[in-house]
Amino acid sequence: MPEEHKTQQEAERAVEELRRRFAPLIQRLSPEVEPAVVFRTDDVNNAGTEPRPRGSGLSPEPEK
Amino acid sequence: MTVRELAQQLRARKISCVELINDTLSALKTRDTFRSVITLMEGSARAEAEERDKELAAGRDRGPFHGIPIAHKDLLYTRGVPTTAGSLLFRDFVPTYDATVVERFKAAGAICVAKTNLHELAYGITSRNPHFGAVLNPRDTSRIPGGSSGGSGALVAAGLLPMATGSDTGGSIRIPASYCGITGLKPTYGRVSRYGVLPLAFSLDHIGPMGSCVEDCALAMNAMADGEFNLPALPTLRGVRIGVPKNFYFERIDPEVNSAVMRAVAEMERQGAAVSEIQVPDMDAINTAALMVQLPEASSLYERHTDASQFGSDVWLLIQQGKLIPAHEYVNAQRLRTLFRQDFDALWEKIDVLATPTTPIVAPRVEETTVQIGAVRENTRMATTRLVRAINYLGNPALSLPCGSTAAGLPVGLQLIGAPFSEPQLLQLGRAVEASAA
Repeated sequence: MPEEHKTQQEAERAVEELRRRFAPLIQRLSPEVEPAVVFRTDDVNNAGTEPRPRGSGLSPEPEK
Repeated sequence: MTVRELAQQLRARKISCVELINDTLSALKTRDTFRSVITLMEGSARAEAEERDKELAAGRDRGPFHGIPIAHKDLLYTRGVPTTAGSLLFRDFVPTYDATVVERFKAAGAICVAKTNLHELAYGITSRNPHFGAVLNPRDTSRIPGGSSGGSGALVAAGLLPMATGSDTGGSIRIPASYCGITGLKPTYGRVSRYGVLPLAFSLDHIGPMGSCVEDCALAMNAMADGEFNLPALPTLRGVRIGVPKNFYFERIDPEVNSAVMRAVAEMERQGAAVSEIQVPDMDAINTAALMVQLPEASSLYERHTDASQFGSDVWLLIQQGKLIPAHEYVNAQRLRTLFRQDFDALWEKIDVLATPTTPIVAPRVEETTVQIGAVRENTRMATTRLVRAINYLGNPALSLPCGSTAAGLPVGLQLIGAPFSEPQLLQLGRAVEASAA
């Protein structure tokens, strides 16, 4: 977790600092580098279990 | 008592499932002074216990977890039982289905007796929940249990339950395991289903077991995922290659933590392991990239919530921070993941396991927002997550287990990191370390 920030202003400064540290890292990226794929998907892991609707179950919005 | 010990008592008819569950519920009501529980599941637990007793009497044995009381972190969906995520947003949320992990534990015969307290929305490491109470560390109630799975860690550390589930996005299983002196496993990303678990950051979230011993975590993994995780105890560690990082992991750590971890490494060497020092990739850079992923992923979930009064101030500000990361930087952080993973995977050509401290410090006092480590004063949150966060981004499995304690009696956590899908071997090695510490 990032540091505990007391004010919005301090939180914004912390993000600026994080982005400043991040900026040089992208020098390693050539155009052919794609985002990492996951090792294994939940669907594979759930093989054999009953199919269920996904939808709002995975959203932070409580189901009604 | 461990899962195996309880299971033996149940099979020997020294205690029934109903008696065990009644005793556990009674203990939770009278002895959980650590604010570990959000919802007690008395009715369903007693009913399930009766069923499990009938099954045993009829010769149906579901395995090691048959009739064993467990608890789920309160962001795992439980059908018909409130699942708050420690948040006002979900205070009245009652899921209509079980998370896959909940379902699998039920099928294994485990009986969920409680939903455990946590850092609000699993977004923090103190488990000081402003809505459901601050969880205390049973080892020393003036200290935090760590988080975000603080309630699960406290229940197991207090001996009130042998097993509880946790989730780990930036260390939230391993940190409370370290601070509370228990064992916790963050499996390989995707190995344990996240279905029916409220996300914090989709590509960093992991679900895993928190138990009183390594074997219990292995047995729990057998229930939670496909595969065999409880391998036989190793007669010797000959042939096991242990890497001890030259850089990063032993910089800025409490000397007593350093000593305890190095004693564990020496013990592994004494048992035959080949120990070597090894240079690890730039973990500071990986931590930076991990935060560039975590902040916007978490914020994306709560973007439409604009009422700050619904959140603790720390969580609210983290959500605002995530909105300040531009999309292209988030995507680049995910692209860098490919390269950092390649860097890290190169380690497994030379070693089988990386041995590190889980946390650079022991459990801080509740009021400590900064900690002094050597000559440096560091923010408590940053110190607490420094050695664990990168592994969520890389996706490797990591086991935290106790490896001794400080002069003040506070537990120290040893982190064993392995190649993807090496959980059985990590747990096997963990058992050898645990046996030598006993």
